[in-house]
Amino acid sequence: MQITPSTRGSRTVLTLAGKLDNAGSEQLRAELLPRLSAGPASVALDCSALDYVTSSGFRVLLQAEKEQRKHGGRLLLAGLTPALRNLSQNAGLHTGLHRVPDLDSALAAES
Amino acid sequence: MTTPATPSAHPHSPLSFVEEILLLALDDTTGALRPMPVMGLDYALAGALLADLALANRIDTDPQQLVVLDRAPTGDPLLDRALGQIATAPAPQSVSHWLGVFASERSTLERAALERLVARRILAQQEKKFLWVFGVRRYPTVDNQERVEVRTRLSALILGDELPDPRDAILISLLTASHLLARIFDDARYHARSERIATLARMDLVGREVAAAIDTLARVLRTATPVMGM
Repeated sequence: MQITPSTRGSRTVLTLAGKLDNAGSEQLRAELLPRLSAGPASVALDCSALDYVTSSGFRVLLQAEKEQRKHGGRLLLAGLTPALRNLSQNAGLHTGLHRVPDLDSALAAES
Repeated sequence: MTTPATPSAHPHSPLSFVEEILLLALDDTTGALRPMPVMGLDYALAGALLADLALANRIDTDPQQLVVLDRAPTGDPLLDRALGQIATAPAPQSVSHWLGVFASERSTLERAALERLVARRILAQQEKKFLWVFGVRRYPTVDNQERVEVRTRLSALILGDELPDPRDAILISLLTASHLLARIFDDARYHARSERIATLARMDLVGREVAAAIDTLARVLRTATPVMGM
């Protein structure tokens, strides 16, 4: 999986491309978890080029959202493909994870 | 002199899912198994075994298949035997396939888990003669701290709005699938949280597959068994 960090306002945007499988989860955990303590709205994930998530991928997303809530905020998950939206819905994560269709408008609404 | 290898886990290591599920399936006072649907414990223990392998980073799952990530032994003979079986299969199979395989090994899983819980001094083993002929084994609780702790944690999770950590998501999922959760938390406060419980129970894929296997079997049995008496 490719992870490309960039900065948008107060958030670090991590653009994810490829497969969030076990190896991808380890990469994401290392990139993501240390950034969550920066503040309540520190990270957004651009998932529009993400094409696959396994159970270990969902576990990292859940763990990251839990961590972000400890700092009073939510992780932003933008641009999930319909298949992944469906998968996260089946996994009962539609209420747990803050999913937005479009990163630009979500970030614009925050500022 | 070398120490002989024992099948028991280290007494102070955290309980595996297989041990945890079996412990919660036993009644605190009688030491007997709580009522469960047909094959309920079989599939729950099989799911627990897969969950142990997943959190040990040996396997990963998606709705289509279960893949081996790492064949390196975990040091737990129960897990390593299962891992060997999965790794040597000619082609990757689905989670439900492996649940079926390991559910058929319920007696092995159950016996190993009981031995470990006795070795950890959580349970004691008691033989009772039944009709002076058959020995009936019961496993009364010696130390109920583990059960109390996990129930307190799961109760807070069900009644609150926090997200679960992965271990608790798996536990709730397996306990719900095998209908044990409703037996453990059986009062109005929990009944009012059925939607929350259903959401939490869906958060783990193996748990969802365990629920599907148990529910499908129950449906088949309902339609296949003629109604007797009454």
